[in-house]
Amino acid sequence: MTGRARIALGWGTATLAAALLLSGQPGLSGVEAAAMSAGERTAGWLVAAPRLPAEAARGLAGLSSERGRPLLAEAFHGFAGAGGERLGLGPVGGLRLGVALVAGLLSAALALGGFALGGAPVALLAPAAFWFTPRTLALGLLATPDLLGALLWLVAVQVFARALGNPTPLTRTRDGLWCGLLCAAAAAVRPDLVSLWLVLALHWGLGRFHLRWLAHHHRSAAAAWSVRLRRTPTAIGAGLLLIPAAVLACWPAHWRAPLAGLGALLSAVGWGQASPTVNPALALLAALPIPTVALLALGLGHAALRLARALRRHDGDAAWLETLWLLAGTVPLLLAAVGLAPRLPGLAPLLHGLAPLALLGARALVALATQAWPARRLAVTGALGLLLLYPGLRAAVTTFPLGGSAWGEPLGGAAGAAWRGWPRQDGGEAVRGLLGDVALHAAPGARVAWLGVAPWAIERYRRAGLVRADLVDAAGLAEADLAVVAEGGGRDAEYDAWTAFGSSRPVAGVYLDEVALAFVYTRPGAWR
Amino acid sequence: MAARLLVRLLVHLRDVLVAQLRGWREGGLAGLRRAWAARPPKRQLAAQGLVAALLLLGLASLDARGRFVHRLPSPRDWAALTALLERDARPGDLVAILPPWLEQARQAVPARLPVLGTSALDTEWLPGVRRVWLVAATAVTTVGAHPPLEGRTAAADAQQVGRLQVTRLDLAAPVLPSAWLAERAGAPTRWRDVDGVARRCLELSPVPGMPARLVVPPLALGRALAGHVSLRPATAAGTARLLVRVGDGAPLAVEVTGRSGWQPFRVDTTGLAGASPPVTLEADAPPGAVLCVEAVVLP
Repeated sequence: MTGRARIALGWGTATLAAALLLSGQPGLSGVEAAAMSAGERTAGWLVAAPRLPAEAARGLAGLSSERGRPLLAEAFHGFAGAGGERLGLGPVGGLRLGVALVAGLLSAALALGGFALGGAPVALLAPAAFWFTPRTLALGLLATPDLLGALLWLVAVQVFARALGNPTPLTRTRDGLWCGLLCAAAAAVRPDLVSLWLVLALHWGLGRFHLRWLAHHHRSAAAAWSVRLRRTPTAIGAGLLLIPAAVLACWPAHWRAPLAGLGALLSAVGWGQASPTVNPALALLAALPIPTVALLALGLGHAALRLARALRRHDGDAAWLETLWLLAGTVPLLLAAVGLAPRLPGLAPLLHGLAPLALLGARALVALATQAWPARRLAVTGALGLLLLYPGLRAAVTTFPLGGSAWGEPLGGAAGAAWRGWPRQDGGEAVRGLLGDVALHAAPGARVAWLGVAPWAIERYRRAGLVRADLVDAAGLAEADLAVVAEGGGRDAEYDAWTAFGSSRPVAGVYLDEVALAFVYTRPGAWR
Repeated sequence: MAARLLVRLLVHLRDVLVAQLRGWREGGLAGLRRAWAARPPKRQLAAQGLVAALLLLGLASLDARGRFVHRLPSPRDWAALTALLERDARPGDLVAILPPWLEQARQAVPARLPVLGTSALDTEWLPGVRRVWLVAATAVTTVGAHPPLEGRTAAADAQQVGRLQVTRLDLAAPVLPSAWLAERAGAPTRWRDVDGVARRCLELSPVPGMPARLVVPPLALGRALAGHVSLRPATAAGTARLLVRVGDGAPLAVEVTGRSGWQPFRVDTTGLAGASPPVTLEADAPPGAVLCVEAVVLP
C-alpha cells in the first residue's frame, strides 16, 4: 500500500470510528429530524415500490413536494439509518450511520486531495483543518444532506482536476463523465450544489479567456494544456445533461410537469427567499475559532499568490489548478453572501466550500514552513499545525456535544452571540442534555410539553429509552406538568411556560459558557 | 608610594576595561554585520515573520479561551449566591442579572424573587421594588463607567461571591404602586418578550374596526396613573393607539409603533386624588398586533 493510500485509509477509518463512537451523543435538531423523518418515509416508499408502484410514486411525489427538494439525501440517510438500527447502533446513533460513512469518506477525500496538492504533510493536515472546529464536528454528526453534499462537491472538483490533467483524451473523457455524474448527484442531494456546474463552467470560461489573452500577447506561450481548453470539457457537457436528469429523477413531485419544477429549484437554491438573519459570510468568520479562520485565509491568500505567479510565468497548468481550487472554495461563500444559498442554520449553507478551503489552508501551512525554515520544515509545519489546529480541537472537545451552538473568539464565543441575539442552537438539539434530569426527577406519569423540539426527535428519544416510558406528551402548556424548552429565536414560548406555571425559575438547564440553551420548568409537585 | 602604585593600578585596570569593552563592541558590530550580510532573503524573512505571527495567534487563542472559561462563575459561586439570597433577600427585592444572558442565575435565585435580565437597568422604573440585587459576572462584562442606578440608590453594598459580584442597591425613592390595573380588573397577564426583556403584559388585542377595551372597576386614585405600553410583534406595521381614560376627563392618547419599544405614559390624577372614578383602557392596533400594557396607580 502506498503512503498516499495509507494516510487516506488511516484518516478515513479514524474518522468513521470516531463518528460511530460519538454519533449517539448530540441531540436531534429540527433540520435533522425533518430530514430523517422524510428519509424513513422515502426508504419505506422505495422498498414498497416494486409491489405498489403507483402508491409509491404518489407517496414520493407528496414527500418531495412537502420537502421542496429532491430526495436523494433523504433516501441515502433513510436506508443507512435503518441499517444502523439493525446493526444495533441504537435509535439515535444508528440513524447517523450514513453520515458516519460520509465523514470517513470525506476525510479520505481530503487526505487524497491534500496528497495531490502538496504531498504527505498536506494529506495529514487537511482533514484536521476541516474537522477540528466545534461547528464542523457537529455538522459531521448530523444526518442531514450537508456533509454528503460537501463530500460530492470535493470529490467532483478533484475528479475534474484529474480530468484536466490527464494526458490522453480517453482518460479525460472518462474522468469528465465521472465528474458530471458527481455534479448531478450533488445537485440531487442539495439543489444549491448545482453551483458546482457553475464553478466548472466559470473555470473553463476563465481558462479560455486566459488562452485568448496569451494568444494576443505571448504567442509562443501556448502549451499542451491550451489544447484541452479549446473543446468544452466533458464534465461540463455531461453535467448539463445529467444534472437536470438526476434532479428530476429524485424529485417525483415534478415528474409530470418538469418545467414547472424550475421555480421550485430556484427556490431551493435560495432565490427569492427572505434575507437570512445571520449573514453566512459573517457567520463563517464568527463561527470558527480564529486560528482556523486565519488558516483558511492563509490558504486563500497562498492560492491567489500561486495563481498570480503562474499567470506571470505563463504556467497554464498551475494557473488552471489554482483557479479551480479558488473557485471551489470561494464560490459557495460568494453565492451565500448574495443570498443564493439555502436558509439553513449555522455553517450548513457553506460547508461544501470549507472542504476546499481546508485543503488550501493545509497546503499553505506546509509551504509557509518550507519557505521560513527549509531545513526544519517538518518541525515548523508540526508546530504551526499544532498551534493553529489545537485551539479548534480543544474547543470542539470542550463544547461537545453542543458544538452546533459554539461561536469563535472574534464574536466572544456563545456569550458574544447571545449578546447579539443570534440563534443559540440549530433547532432544539440541546434538549438532549436535559433528558437525563427529566428521567431522574419528573414525577411519575407527568405530562411533558416540549417547546422548540421536533416531535420526530421526541419520538426517537423515546425509542432510545432516553425519555421515561411513563412520561406523557402534553398537548399544550395548559395541561402540562412540566415544560422542556429549547432556547431558539423568539422566547415567547418559554414565557408562556412561565405564565402557565406561575414561575420563571427553571429546575434544570443546559448551558454553554453560561449561555442557556434549554430549560425545564415545572408545576409545583411535578419535580422530585 | 602606595598611593601612586594604587593610581597606576587603577589606570591600568581602566585601560584594560576600556580595551575589553571596545573589543566587545567591535566584535558585536562585526557579528551584526556578518548576520546582516548573511540575512535570509526577504521572502524567507517575511515567511518567518508570518510563522511567528501565526504561532502567537494560536497561543493567544488558547490563552483567551482558557482565561474566558476561568472568568465564568463556577457551580460553587452559584450555590453561594443561592445561600446569600435565601438568607438576606426580602419581599420587594429584585435580582438583576448582568450580562442578561447569564441566565443560570434564574436557576440559582430563590423562586420567590423576580429576576430581570436587561442590559439597560438604568432605564427601568422598577415598580414595586425596594432593593435590587445586581448579580454581575464582572469578568466577562463591562458594568460601565457609572454603577447602575446611580443617583437612584440610597445605599449600595457590594460583595464578591466567587466570580460573581453581588451588589445590593437600596432604592432611594422606590416606586410603590397602590394598585396594579390588571389585578384590579381581574385580567390575566402573560409574560412576553418586549425588546429582549421579559415583561408581564396585560394584553389588549383589538380586531379591525373594534378597539379592545378594559374597564377597571373604581379604585382610589393617587397622584398619577402611570405605566408602559409596547406594540407586539415589533415587526408590526402601522401605528397603534392606547387611550387611557380616567373618569369623565379627556383621555390620554399614546401612539405606539413597533419600534417604540417599552414606551412610558403618565396621567396626572392629582386633582382626583382620593376619588374612585372608573378607569378605561382602550386600544386600537393594526391587524394582528397586540398591545402589551403595564399600568399602576401611584399613591
